[in-house]
Amino acid sequence: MGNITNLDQHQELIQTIKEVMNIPPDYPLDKEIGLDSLNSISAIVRLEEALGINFKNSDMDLRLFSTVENIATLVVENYLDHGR
Amino acid sequence: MEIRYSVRDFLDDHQAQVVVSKLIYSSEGIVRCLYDSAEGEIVAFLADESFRSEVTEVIARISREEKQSLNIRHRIVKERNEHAISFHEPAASDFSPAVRKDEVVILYGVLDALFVHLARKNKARLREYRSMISFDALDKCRYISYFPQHIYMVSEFPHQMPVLEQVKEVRKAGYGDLSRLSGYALSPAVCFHCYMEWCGTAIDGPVVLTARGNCFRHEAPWRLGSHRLNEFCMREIVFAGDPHFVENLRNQILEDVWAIFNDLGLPGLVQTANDPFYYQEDKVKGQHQIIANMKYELIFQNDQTGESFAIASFNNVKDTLTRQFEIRGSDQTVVHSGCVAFGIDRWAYALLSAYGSDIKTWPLHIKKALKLNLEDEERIWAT
Repeated sequence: MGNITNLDQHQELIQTIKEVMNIPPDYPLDKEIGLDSLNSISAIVRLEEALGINFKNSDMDLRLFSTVENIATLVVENYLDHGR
Repeated sequence: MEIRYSVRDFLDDHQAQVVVSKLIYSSEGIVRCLYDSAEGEIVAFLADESFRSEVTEVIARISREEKQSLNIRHRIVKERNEHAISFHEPAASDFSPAVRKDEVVILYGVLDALFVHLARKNKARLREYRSMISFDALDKCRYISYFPQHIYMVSEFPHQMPVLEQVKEVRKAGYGDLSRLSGYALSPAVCFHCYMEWCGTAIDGPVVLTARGNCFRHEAPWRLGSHRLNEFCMREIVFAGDPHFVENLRNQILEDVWAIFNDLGLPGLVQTANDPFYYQEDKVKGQHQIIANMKYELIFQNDQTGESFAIASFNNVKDTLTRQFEIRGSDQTVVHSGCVAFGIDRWAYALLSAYGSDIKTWPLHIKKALKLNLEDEERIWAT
């Protein structure tokens, strides 16, 4: 994904998160995803592969993955090159 | 005789420690094992040379499995250093697994009273349960299939005259051939009894129970001693209700216990944790426990010996057990549940390590925090 510099790229990130985590396209960004033990680890692994990142151990906290909005914030603020 | 198995450039230190934690229970040909981080080697000491190929293959297999797992480490959420402590090694005579005496018995009592007080503050009802628990109960929570390394099953001789007559003849060596499983195990935890009490019922609002019991876990013989026992005393606070109640109570008790730990001047930390699932296919459940903050452990750390061990755990198991035991709320939805467990032997051992075996000489503020008053006992012992 490289970097996030505009709204389109942010939308692309949201779409990617929803696709790899099997979340319906119209699912509200701030609604709980409800990851359970059967899918949480595999969903995080798929997300790492799709975005080409490795989540730090300190970020392996399901509360940071509770909504699409939270995941996007985590990724944008900590893992993507902002072009700085 | 030993095996040194290099995992350098293959596993990191954390993964190697995970391999050792499973290796402990994976061959009875091992009399001790550890990870030598300086050399990047897993070291297994063997009972005899005949185990070499078996143990080597076991290490290789567990290492391969660990390499393929997502490497999720525990996160420290609270930490407390206490450099003023000059640690002691509790003498075997003061802290024998076979018998606890006088002051140590008093210490067990005051520690338990402290945890009961905490439970009662949260409106816990009091319970006592048996030491045995049925296979049916353990199957409901899949304990035996998740943690086969820990279970002690209870055997019995059939009530048949020919068998009972043979028992006298064969002595110890033949007991295994003549006995059968009873359908019961020695209880590995107290909380399963609470779930059995609630099994198939609808609970009306939040419920909190507390019980103390002796718990039993099969441990590698070479690890037994000091803080690691195959029979130990555990106080649990077990609760069920809506998800917010369970999460809030678990977290509140964690804060209260951390305050007690601080009052007692003990060094250690609280970190995310997972249960020791034995099989690789169940490991994802343990990983989920870590990232979902389902389990925290309070770890006592002895900086001088490097010894560290969990003395309490704080669990929010969500609907995993209540679903298995069909425990519902008044609206018929499955409730959530959690439990907090205190290893009383380990709290006692930690305190004896920190302040010495002569409890009478402990600092006054520690005795005060424990509400430990030995005057009555000293009068009795003096007569």
